[in-house]
Amino acid sequence: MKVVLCCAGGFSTTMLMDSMKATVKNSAKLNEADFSFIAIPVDLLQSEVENCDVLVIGPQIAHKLDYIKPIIDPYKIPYVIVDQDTYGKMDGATVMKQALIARRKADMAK
Amino acid sequence: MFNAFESFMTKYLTPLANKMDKQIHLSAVKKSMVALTPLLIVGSFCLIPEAIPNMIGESNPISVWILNNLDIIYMPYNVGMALMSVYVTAIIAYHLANSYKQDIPGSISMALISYLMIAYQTKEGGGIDTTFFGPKGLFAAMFASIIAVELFRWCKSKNFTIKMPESVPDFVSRSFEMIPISVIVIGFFLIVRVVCLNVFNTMPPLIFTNLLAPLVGSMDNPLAYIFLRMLQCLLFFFGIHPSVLSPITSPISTSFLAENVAAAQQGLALPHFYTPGPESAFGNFTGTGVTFGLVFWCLLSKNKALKQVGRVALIPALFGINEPILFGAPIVLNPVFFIPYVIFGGLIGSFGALAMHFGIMEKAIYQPPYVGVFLEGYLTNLDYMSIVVNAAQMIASILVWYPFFKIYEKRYGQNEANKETKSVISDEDAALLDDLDLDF
Repeated sequence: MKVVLCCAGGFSTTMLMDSMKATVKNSAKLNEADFSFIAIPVDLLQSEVENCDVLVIGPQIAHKLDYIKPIIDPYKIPYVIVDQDTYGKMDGATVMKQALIARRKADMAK
Repeated sequence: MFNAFESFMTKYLTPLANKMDKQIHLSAVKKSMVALTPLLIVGSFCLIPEAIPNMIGESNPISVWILNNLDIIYMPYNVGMALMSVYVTAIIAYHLANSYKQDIPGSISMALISYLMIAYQTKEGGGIDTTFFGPKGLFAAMFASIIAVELFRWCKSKNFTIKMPESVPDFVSRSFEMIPISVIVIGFFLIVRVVCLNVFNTMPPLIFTNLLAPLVGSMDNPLAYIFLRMLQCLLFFFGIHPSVLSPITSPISTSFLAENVAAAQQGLALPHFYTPGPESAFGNFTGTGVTFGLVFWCLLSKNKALKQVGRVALIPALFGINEPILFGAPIVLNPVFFIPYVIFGGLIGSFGALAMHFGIMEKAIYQPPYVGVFLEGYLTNLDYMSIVVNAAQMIASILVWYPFFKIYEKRYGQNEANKETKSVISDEDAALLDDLDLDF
């Protein structure tokens, strides 16, 4: 499963990504090899959108959803907008849960 | 009061920010500035070797070699940063063509020829005069690139093209399609040039320079600069990343940097304080709005939750990233923190620009990568005063945040007691989560 995280510059989501990676690594039920993560500035989304399974959006660019949707909708990619509280705590476990739920919902809708 | 203000701002500010982000021309300009970064970094490094003979004397072999080979040493600067407008033209055309799903090679060549048409001039005695290929031609480059691609699109929509039979290979028919478009685009810019030269008696890029002089020149003014810093904090206070402003601000700061480097190369005084390196090192010291003070007090707080926020935020803050404290404390939409963040954050963020303006600190000719606070500031101008200025910012930030933090800490403690923890995952989703059977 390829998780793409995006914010304005790709810096702060890198921290969130590291936390999510650690969550996967510490989990006995999730296999590290099944997941790949990438953190990018939202302007580069177009070039990373292929093979993306779930998109994680930082709260500081939530207003850009109108820009993001036309890019991901053709691929039917589910997305999670991280709430400010979770983002501030850099709580990778919660975001990982949200990402998995979003993916599961998309799979069920198919 | 605050609620009314908040709803007013979210009603007008957010849609505006959103519009600016979606605007494809602004977005192409912004991307072109980002794409220039490597040229700027390498270009400003070219200035370093020439300073070495001044430090170690001119008679030793290293200095002699440097002085004899300045042509080669300055090569990357002379063909990169000094010709930045040419690159900008091509990059903007690429991004525009890409968003219009329009022929990219055709768009780029149309943009370049249009730009050269208005910026090209010859020196007395022959040879190309590159004056307007550098920062002085930047606005002309944006204009030419955008207009050329738009004309291209207009011609396509009006079907001013030559249709070839189906059997002709695609790449051949494409170049024929380009002929009427080229005539229209090139003709238009030829007219622009002739009108500018004969009616206004000036080169086209100078018209842009004069038109935009009030806007560009205002960024040499400390008060306008403080206003810009406060505006950036205000945006972030409402949770919008201030990079929405960069299509307007980054061409100015980038051309200022190029002008500083050109001045340094000629041994002149540096003209501008508003350049990208110090913006990051002083303007956004420990993150937009200099939020180090809040991180500091969170770390010392007796409240466990706030202390944890401080811990998470400390390391990124030392690299100029403050999203964890912005959303963690939170500062965003928190009325208690409006004054220290927007007003004082804007002021403290201006310390570097003010120090440069009043001659306390050297202006910058380098754009260092993110290397962490203090070192980054020093690398912008190689002046020890930068460390003093950064230290002053840090101390001011710690002092300013103290009273506001204490008010907040007290309220936070009270709210915590009667707030039940609410999960961000809804009940419906929680059921799915059970299905997923996770262990964290």
